[in-house]
Amino acid sequence: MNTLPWLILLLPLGAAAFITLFAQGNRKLSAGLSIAAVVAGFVLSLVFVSSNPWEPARESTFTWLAIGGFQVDFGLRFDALSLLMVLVVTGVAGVIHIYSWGYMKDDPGVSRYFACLSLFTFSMLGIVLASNFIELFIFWELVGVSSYLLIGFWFERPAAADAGKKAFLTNRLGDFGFLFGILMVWTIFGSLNFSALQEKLTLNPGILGGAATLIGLLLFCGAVGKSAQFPLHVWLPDAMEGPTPVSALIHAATMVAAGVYMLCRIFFLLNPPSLEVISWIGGFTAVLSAVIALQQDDIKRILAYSTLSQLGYMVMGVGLQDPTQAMFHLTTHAFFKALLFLGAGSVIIAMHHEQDIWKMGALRGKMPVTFWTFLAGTLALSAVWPFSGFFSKDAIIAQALSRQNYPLFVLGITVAGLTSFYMFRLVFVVFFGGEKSAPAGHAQESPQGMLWPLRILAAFSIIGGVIGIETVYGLRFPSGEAQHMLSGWEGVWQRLWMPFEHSPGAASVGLLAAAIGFLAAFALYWKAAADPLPTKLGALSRAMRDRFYFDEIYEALFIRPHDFLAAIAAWFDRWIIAGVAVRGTHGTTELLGRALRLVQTGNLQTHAIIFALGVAFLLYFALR
Amino acid sequence: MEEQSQLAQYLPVLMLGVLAVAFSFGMLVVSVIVGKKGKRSPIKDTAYECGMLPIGEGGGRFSVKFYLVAMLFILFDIEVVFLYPWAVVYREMLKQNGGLILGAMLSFLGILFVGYIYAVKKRAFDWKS
Amino acid sequence: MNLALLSHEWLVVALGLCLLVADLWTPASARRILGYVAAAGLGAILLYSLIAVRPELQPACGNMYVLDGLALFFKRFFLAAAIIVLLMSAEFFDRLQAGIGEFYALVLFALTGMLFAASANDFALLFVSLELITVTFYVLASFQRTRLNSLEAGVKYLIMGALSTSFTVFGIALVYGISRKLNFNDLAAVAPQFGGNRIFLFGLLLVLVGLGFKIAAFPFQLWAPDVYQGAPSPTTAFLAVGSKAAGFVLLLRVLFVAVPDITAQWSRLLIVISGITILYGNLCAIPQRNIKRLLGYSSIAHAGYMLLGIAASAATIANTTQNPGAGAAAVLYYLGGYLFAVLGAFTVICLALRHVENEDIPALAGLGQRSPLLATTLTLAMVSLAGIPPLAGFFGKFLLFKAALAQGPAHPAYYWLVAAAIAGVVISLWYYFGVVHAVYWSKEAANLSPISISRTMRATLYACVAGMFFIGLCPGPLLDCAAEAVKALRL
Repeated sequence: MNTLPWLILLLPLGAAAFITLFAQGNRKLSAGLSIAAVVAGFVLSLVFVSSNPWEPARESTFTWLAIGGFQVDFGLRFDALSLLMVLVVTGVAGVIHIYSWGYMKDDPGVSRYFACLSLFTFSMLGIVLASNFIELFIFWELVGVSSYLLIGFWFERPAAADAGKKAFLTNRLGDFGFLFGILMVWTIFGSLNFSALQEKLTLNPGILGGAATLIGLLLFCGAVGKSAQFPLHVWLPDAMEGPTPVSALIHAATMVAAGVYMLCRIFFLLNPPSLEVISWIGGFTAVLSAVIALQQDDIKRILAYSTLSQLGYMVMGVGLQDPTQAMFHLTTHAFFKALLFLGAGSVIIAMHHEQDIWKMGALRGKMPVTFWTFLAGTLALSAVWPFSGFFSKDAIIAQALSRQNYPLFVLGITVAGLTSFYMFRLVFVVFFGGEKSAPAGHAQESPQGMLWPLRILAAFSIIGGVIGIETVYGLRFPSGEAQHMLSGWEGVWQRLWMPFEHSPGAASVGLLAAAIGFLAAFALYWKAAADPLPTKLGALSRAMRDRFYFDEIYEALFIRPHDFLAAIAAWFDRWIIAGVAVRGTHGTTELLGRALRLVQTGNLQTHAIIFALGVAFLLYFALR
Repeated sequence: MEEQSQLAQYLPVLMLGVLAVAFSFGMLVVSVIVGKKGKRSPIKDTAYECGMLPIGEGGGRFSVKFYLVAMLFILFDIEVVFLYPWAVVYREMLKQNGGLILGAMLSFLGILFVGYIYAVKKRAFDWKS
Repeated sequence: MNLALLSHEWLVVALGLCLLVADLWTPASARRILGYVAAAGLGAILLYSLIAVRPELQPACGNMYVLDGLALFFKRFFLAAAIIVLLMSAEFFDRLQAGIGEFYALVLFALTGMLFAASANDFALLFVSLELITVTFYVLASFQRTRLNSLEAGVKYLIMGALSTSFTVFGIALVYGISRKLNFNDLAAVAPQFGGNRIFLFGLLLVLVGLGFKIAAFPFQLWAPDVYQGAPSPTTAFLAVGSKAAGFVLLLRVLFVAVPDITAQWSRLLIVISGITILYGNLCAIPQRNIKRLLGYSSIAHAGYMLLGIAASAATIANTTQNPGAGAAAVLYYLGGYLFAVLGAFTVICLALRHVENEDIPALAGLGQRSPLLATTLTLAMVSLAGIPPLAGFFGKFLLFKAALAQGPAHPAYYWLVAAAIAGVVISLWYYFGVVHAVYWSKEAANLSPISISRTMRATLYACVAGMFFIGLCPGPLLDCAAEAVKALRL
């Protein structure tokens, strides 16, 4: 058994347990432990990756329990997919942990914060390394729990508590379908181990039969919840009530990506019809959230909707049968979206927890590091060559083109334009123009502990597209075209130009869309003091601002009838179940209990007599 | 039947018991029948015909210490009683594993010695306190 | 004779005597430390046992004493229990009027009895070890001399104990009278020929009466609630864990080593006793207000669950099944989980009761705010006793029921037994959660001042919680030990 990955997995759990049990009062110790655990995890995973090959897939398993014929295994799976993800998770999480210490230093609950953060890191690593569905599901739920704890971290604010609840419940909806899918897989295959499943499916491709599409869609339900795809996308923007580093780590870089990761992990189980649905849901989510993002004013909400839209790209990539590129985009997105959120955090701190972009302005000169790194992130997100986002996003759009799925291609291009537009709107309003409020006038650059994470992430946002990430993922999914790449500097050079050689149409149109978006933003928002769009678009703008009334529609469609049903159920529960069924049994049992108590008089003579009678009863019963 | 033969061994004991009961009752009955009845008066019916009149309780009061000492006496007395059969029974076996037998008794005595020290330190033998 | 086999007993007796002597020269203020010394000594013995002692095939003391896997399993179990009980008593120190040193020593002597019981392979040793345990507990139960409840508990235990002992010794005499054998191995060889002898069976049943008294099985359970309630908390804890487990190891030995052929005919009897014990314990627990009394009834119910495993094993003697030791192994596993849950609960009671007016459950109100650690431990202990995953109690019950259901096809009565047991579990949820409810949600809390807990007690509580989780989440190691241990039985 290979101990190193187990150590990587368990270190954050150990930190979380230790902090909860022993270091509640000690802020520095808690933070130090938590940071040390995840940084050590990153170093150890580097060691592991450098001393072990990416492929073929291996497992390190121990039998958790075995009774008779029933056996439950607990194992870790290593292949290109999981190992690279471990690096990404520990790396990004490490940077964000360090940033958190700067951001949360003065919060009274800092120990609790770091304990939850460590618990989250542990659960996320568990999802990545899981070797079977049971494990995946356990960690899946753990991630949900830690996310709930962190969204509601400032539980004294009702909005935060509500957002936590909403995230948890919405996720549960998706998990319900996911669990069903897992159970169906289990009934059909009799196994839940990924390798075993794949083997069985290769041996007997028709084993799923008519249930194939249903299983694919049920499993996709899990991803819909966790990766916040339409129609369960409503929780993610509200989740921004949590501390900003949490938004960066959980609701941008890692946890929401878990859905996409899961789809890639079980890609062999998905059949063409379900993939078709997946790609359309992804595309629709991408464009819907991009449109909503156009008219948001809260800096974190803009980023949240952009996350939704990028997740849509990834899901679309999976649906277009190209998990390599989906994972590639997931990874680059992790870098630049974490960067953007941390940059936003830096701005929010400087603005004394003001999040409305129309109260900021002219921060470029006062916060140079934040500005330049934020700009790098924006360029990466807007898919500007040669920033990382360009390569991964272009690959997905090119895939749509090469599969001759023109509607999705057009959708992808549109979203690229919209992305560029709303991101530059954000940059222009926040960093350029005049100061729109007093705090913007005396904003100050954040401390170095928060700036270094920004610099590191900015570096990766710039170079992430050409360092061969997709080549590694390609090892796992050999159908992609990315594996015939050179290594070293030549490979970087080759990758730099590949989009234009491989699919010049997609690359150039994508760049053009980004340019149009930039120009439009420049025209409208360069030095704008208030948003000019509402007057121009009228009702449409209001609809965008109000998120197309999804929350209200859900309220009317689901929550009201649900409340009504709940009222009926409550009545039934109170009067029929509790009143008749439970009270009845309760009463009977309690009566019996009271009657039996009469036997127990406490009188010694009675006890002795009953004892003797008992002996007589025993003898009669056995010897009769 | 084996069970009956076992019980038969106890027949002499039963007979002894019957005999004892019969004898004591018989003596009482015989004394009533044979004995001469004297004249009775209240004075004659008192316990003594001379000396002090019987007043007060029969038993005197003992110090509670007495019971403690008595119990300890019985405890350590039993120990000595236990030593006799040990000395007699194991004489033959001493040649083969004498160390073991001696060790067993020494540990027994050791435990009792600890008990003795305990009793002394707890001043169980101290009559005055 | 191989006296080295008795190393556990020697060491514990020596420790007890040293403690008794050391106590004489220790100033009253420092006596609490003796408890920690004793616990540390037992820890060392447990460590020695785990590292250096392996099961021996050769018996000692003229076949009276065996050190097989079963004996070793229970010895370690008793040592672990005694360590926690000693730590608890050190905490309890200021509530005893006098003689804390003697209290520690008596716990060690009772432990010696249990260690001998684990190894007893002969009716003589069975009786002596049983008496050593019981007589020590008479004193331990009435140790709070000025508390009426404690005295009452001691006297009740004394009289009922004497009654049951008289039955036991009469039974042993009858068995010996018929078979001329006291040794379990010898008895196993000749027992089949006495299968029809009523007097022999009569004797055996009377021995079972004595053991049934120890484990508090129906109909010999009446003493348990009174004694549990009245005795000092550490005594009650030791009674609930150590004394009960000693009863079970002797029961296993008598039923499955000495007279397996006769046990096979008694599976119906065992089913009936087990079922009634489960229902009786759980039903009577419902109206209880006193937390210790509640745990007394709950311990009766748990004895019933474990008897279910024994009943399941009894059926495997007659018809060979795949996994004959499953029932007995489940009992051992169950005891492991029970150890941590009960000791955890009693440690909490011991610590919390000094801060509340009385021992009633409503008095625990507000514990969740006064000491989160105590509240959490108590909750986990209740949850484990109720048998809810992922704690130890759940998996133990699961194994017991599984073993019983495996016998179902041959004897449908086992289905009824499991049904009764499940009904018992459902009933038990009620009163266990009543305690949890009082701890967290009761509105009646009058006093909300925080309760401070010493470092050793903190460590003890953590150990109990860790034990409950470890046994529940990683059942493998303990289950392997249990399966290895029951190989000593003739199943």
